[in-house]
Amino acid sequence: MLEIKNLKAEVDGKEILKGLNLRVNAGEVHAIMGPNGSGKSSLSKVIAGHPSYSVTGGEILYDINFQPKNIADMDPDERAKEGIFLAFQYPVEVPGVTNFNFLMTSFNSILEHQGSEPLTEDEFRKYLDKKMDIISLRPDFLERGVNSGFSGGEKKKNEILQMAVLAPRLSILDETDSGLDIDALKVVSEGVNKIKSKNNAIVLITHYQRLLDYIKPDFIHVLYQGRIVKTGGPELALELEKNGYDGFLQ
Amino acid sequence: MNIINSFDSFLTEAQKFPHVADWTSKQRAKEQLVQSGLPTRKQESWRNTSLKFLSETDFKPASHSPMQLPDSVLSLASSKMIDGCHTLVFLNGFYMPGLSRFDVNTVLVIENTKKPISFQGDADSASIHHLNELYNLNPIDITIKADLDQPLQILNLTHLMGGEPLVISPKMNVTVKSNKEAKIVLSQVGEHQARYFTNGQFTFAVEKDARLELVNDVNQSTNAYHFDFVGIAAEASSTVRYFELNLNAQLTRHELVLELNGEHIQSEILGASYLKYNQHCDSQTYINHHKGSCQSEQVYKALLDDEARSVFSGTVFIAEGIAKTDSAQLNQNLLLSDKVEVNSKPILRIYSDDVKASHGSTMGKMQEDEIFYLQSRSISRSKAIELLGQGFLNEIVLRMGSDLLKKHFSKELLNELGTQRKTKLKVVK
Ligand SMILES: Nc1ncnc2c1ncn2[C@@H]1O[C@H](COP(=O)(O)OP(=O)(O)OP(=O)(O)O)[C@@H](O)[C@H]1O
Ligand SMILES: [Mg+2]
Repeated sequence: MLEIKNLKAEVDGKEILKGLNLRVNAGEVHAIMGPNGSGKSSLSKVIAGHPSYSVTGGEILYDINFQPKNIADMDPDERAKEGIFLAFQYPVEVPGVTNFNFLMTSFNSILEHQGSEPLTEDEFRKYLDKKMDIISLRPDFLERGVNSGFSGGEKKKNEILQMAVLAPRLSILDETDSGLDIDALKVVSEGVNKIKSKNNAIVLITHYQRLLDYIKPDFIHVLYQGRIVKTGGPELALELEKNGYDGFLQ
Repeated sequence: MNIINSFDSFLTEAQKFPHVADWTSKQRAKEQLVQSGLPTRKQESWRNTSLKFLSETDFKPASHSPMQLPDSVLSLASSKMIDGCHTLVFLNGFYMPGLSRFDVNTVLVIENTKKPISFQGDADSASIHHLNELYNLNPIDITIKADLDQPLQILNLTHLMGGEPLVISPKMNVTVKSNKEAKIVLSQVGEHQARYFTNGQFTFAVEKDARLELVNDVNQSTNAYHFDFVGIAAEASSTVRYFELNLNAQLTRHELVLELNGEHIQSEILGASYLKYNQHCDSQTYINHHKGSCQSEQVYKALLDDEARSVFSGTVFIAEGIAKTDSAQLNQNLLLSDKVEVNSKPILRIYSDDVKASHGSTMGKMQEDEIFYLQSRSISRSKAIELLGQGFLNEIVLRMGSDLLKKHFSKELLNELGTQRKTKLKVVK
């Protein structure tokens, strides 16, 4: 579904990704770990198409209509319409735009892209109710400004609600676990597990093993200084938890 | 000066209805006007706004509408009525009881009132008030006797009915009786693309312990010139919440005077403007703290596109020796184009020590991170800008106390941004 080949990217003239390779197939769960500042969020933003980053080398191949296509030049909204979703490490506050209006506009943009009729407000509300149950958010969240005044944990939950509503093919969750309390982590993880299927793929960026107890990864990657320096199975995370990154990073 | 000179013929014509107005005060207003002339840009509060249009177009004073209204007027009226509100309809400044629907047990309407209402407004703008005095022929007195269960919409319609450009001069005074609550919408609207000049005087007496929430919704024809004076006299322990929405008019000038005449008054003065093309909107506010222990909060937001211009001048007066005054003022401007112009001026006249007073003004472009966030959710760049612009202004609308009005104006904002931007399909980098 996603194949990244020798990807190089910079921001403000500074090279952050320095030849990164990654392959993700449908049905898989990948975890990316790595020290602070190693480039994990940068990788997720480059995949989603953040305008501050420019790709200076390599390819981001993503399957569109069953054909791998280099998406490096596509607009962020075009990528999202093709099923790429990024749960932000720091979700942006958009005061004044209600969560409901935001979700509906977003969902209908995808329907429109697929050539379907947009849902009416009532139809969408019904669809949304079911999704709200998945991560147990209170209904009044819908009438508030997007992430505006939300607690750290509520913002993360809101990201997963969006994921549930938009049903993406490729989801990248950037530290969705940080800031969640123990119960919320469980609820959110269960939500992600419900959304997970053999047709979609999930990339988890995390610092902690605990998330991986709930959402079982197939592969673990260590990102360091803009490159994936090690890939392994779930046992790699346990090893990292025990020994830290020092072991690999000579 | 055409607009002043038309007075003589107007006088001859209108004196056929001697009962409707106080002709001596009109004559006096005319003399004062001739003496002072209209404001020029040399006067401080008119520095950024020109009255040139008054000499370019010959605006005729509006007169009573025919008994039989054309369908175009009726359909305009019904399209502008807000569902779920009581409505008082005014056409070209004249009360239309036949089109109005309200509960007589809560609202009392008296026509042709001669009750004097005086406000100490901006001295440089006195001639604009005189101009209203010259031409208003149907002053109205409205009393809110009991709590309003639904908002009261005062629908000020302008329609030329195929005729020449008009000057419309509504004048009304609203009293909210002690301990009563009213939500009032002043809908200032008119015939699509028509050229006219509305110059209204709206005064409000908010008695002790009363609560007034007032929405001044200016959504005129894009060729219209809209001036209004809103004077609010608030008594002890009352609450005043004023929302000014500027969505359409070629040129808008507001003068708002809030007199805090008693202690423990809570007041919010809020504005949201979406200005585009070469629209010009000038809001002058005067908040006068005469007594202690009052709060006044002002937030004026403007979203500017194309070559639009926004002027905000906020004067806060705090009288000598009064205690525990809390006053805040904020003017925020979001710029969608490089050719817009913003003038923002706080004027603090503080004569007391026991005061918390703040003011601030910001100007900026839309954040790329916010646009990206929306784009990452499949929303196109231009739709993202539209939503973020709506959100910026909608923060003001979401502070309204009525769910009905919140919904109505949120939608109105979104429609306005949607249709404007769709016709242009312009993307700002
Ligand atoms: N606009 C920018 N200009 C210069 N450097 C930047 C810019 N944005 C990010 N960086 C740098 O890029 C590097 C990678 O940052 P990134 O946010 O991708 O790290 P991360 O792996 O997600 O870290 P964390 O675990 O702390 O979230 C950091 O050194 C950061 O300072
Ligand atoms: Mg990060």
